[in-house]
Amino acid sequence: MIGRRARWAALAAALLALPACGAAEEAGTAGAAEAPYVIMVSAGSDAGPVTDQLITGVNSVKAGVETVNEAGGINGRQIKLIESPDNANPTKAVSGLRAQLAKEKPDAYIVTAGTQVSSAVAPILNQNKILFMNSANLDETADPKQHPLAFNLAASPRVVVEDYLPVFEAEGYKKIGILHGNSPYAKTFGELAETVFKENGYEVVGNVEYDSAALDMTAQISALRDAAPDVVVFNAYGAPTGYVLKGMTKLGWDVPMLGETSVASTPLVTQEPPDGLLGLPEVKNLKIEVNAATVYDPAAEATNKAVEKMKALGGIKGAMVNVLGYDGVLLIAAGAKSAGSTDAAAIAKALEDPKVNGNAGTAVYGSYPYSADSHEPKLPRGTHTFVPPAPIVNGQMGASK
Amino acid sequence: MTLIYAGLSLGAVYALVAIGYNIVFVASRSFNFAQAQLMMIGAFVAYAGHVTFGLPAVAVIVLAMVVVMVIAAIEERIAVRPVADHQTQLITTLGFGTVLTGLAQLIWGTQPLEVPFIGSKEAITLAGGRVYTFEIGLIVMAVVLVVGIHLYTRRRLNGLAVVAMSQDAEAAVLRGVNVRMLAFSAFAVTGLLAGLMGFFIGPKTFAVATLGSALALKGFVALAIGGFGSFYGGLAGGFTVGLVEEHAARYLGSEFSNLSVFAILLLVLMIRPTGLFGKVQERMV
Repeated sequence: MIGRRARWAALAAALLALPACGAAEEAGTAGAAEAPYVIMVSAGSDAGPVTDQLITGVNSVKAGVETVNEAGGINGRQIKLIESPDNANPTKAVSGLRAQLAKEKPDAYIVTAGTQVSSAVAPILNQNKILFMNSANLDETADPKQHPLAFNLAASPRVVVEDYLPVFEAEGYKKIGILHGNSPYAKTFGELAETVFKENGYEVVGNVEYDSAALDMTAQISALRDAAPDVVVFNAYGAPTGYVLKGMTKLGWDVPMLGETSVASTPLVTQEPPDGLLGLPEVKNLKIEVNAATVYDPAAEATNKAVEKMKALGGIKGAMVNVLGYDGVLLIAAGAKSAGSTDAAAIAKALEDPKVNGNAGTAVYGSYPYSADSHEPKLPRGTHTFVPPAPIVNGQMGASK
Repeated sequence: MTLIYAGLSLGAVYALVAIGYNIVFVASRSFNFAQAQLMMIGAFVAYAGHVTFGLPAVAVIVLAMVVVMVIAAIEERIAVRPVADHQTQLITTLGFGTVLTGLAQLIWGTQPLEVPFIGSKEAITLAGGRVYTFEIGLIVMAVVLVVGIHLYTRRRLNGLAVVAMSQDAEAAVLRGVNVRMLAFSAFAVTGLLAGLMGFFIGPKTFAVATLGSALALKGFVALAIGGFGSFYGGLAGGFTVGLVEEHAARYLGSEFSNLSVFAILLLVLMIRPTGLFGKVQERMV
């Protein structure tokens, strides 16, 4: 008797539970639609020489999140930003990402500084089908066959190098000297510069590498001077920029110098004394390579909007090339809107459409020409120009404080 | 000549680090791996004195020396004295150096800052080579410091006490030497000198938070080449490292710069395991 009653009770409970289950599923679906869109960003406060880049990069992502959320979020989902306090350390970044995956899978991941972090997290993001916006130059994340959901945000080194050619032509330089550091990017720059210049009929009379940890560049500059180039093309960031410029001045070598984008990001050349070298003999022969966004233009609405947002978040250290994270967030929003979905694959597919990546309201580059074959922005020649060093305030030259 | 001047001035920077290592080593048989970071702080304080506070040069030197001396004294009290053995002190002083680097980044940021020089900022031509006046100042300072310290440890009672302590601490105690006070004083003096050195190396290297790590290793190599405990050895080691580094970078390429320095180190240690000026000590057991 008791057993029969228990069976009836169990049946009744099961019947009562059925509609409740349905209600729970509906609630879950509704919850998913309203759940925040989670973006994780490699962040921190102490990344050695790249600390300024990292802090500015993370602020740029925050500014992008604010902009998108104010416009209604990503297809109606507000963005929730999770900072990985890894200080651009690849091991910590991987640990942070794995810990986050165990708790809640992010929808997208952004790296604003540190090529090694990008290399370390890319396979995990690929494996977990997470959208990846990468501010570093990395061949594998530019290749959709390897990483279909990853996109490079930075201009490719080839574009950076090719933009030297109009200056050579205009100034009549024929013999080129190259001076570069020994970081992976600097080595790529040095090799590519030699190849591109030779391909275009210029004579590369010297291609000298320096150790980025060295405290004196006299030897390298002496070697280059003996080759007697018409112009010196060089790459440096931070203290090595100063060592190169002081070395040139010490030797009394009066030769034009063209510093690539990393030189423009070094405050030493864009600040007046006593903090910097601006206006001193060290920079009198120097021109630096900058993108259009680094030169203030009152008509550039999208860029100015981003700068204003970032001013409120602590300002921009270095040049506008450090705020690619802002564009990364806006590209995700534009891709999702076009795809009508927040699915990573759908967003990635949409971003390959020029109508989408060219109308996202991005700040650094007006468009990010991706294609089904390449997730590296194929920016046109002339993306960068060479200008004499001038004070850079909040990432821009010619802007008021 | 330009390359020789560059090598000597760079070597002088390494020699100055080696001098700091040596003072502590002679006094307490331990290594202060934060020595290069103390010099880095000296460069930043020199920058702050010149630029932030607008002080005259003499006041800047005094400020840099006092501030770094206080930091070194604090280091001795919290990272050296509580630790019993010298091996552990390697770790604690390394940790103290890391803390100093972090503090420098927090206060002054990560970008290089130009430290003004009191003399002429122009490069001059000397015996056919080009050199900045502050580079000449660095070379002279390294030589003068080494000669001064050598004379002090040979002719002054305190200096002799330090040497006695380094050779046999127990015997020194029995002879009435205050070993603990002298070890503390050695740290304070290295801080004092690091502040002075920071003032002079800043115009060459800039004040930058990564300076400590760049100097620490090469300073140690200079010491190993010259011989632990020898001030003249540290000077010779520093100049050797600087000259080899510059000439290898010029004629072999920068890829061979560090390789050549370590090849020389190995060669010296194979021929003279105690370094160029190191002495072998015999002990009765």
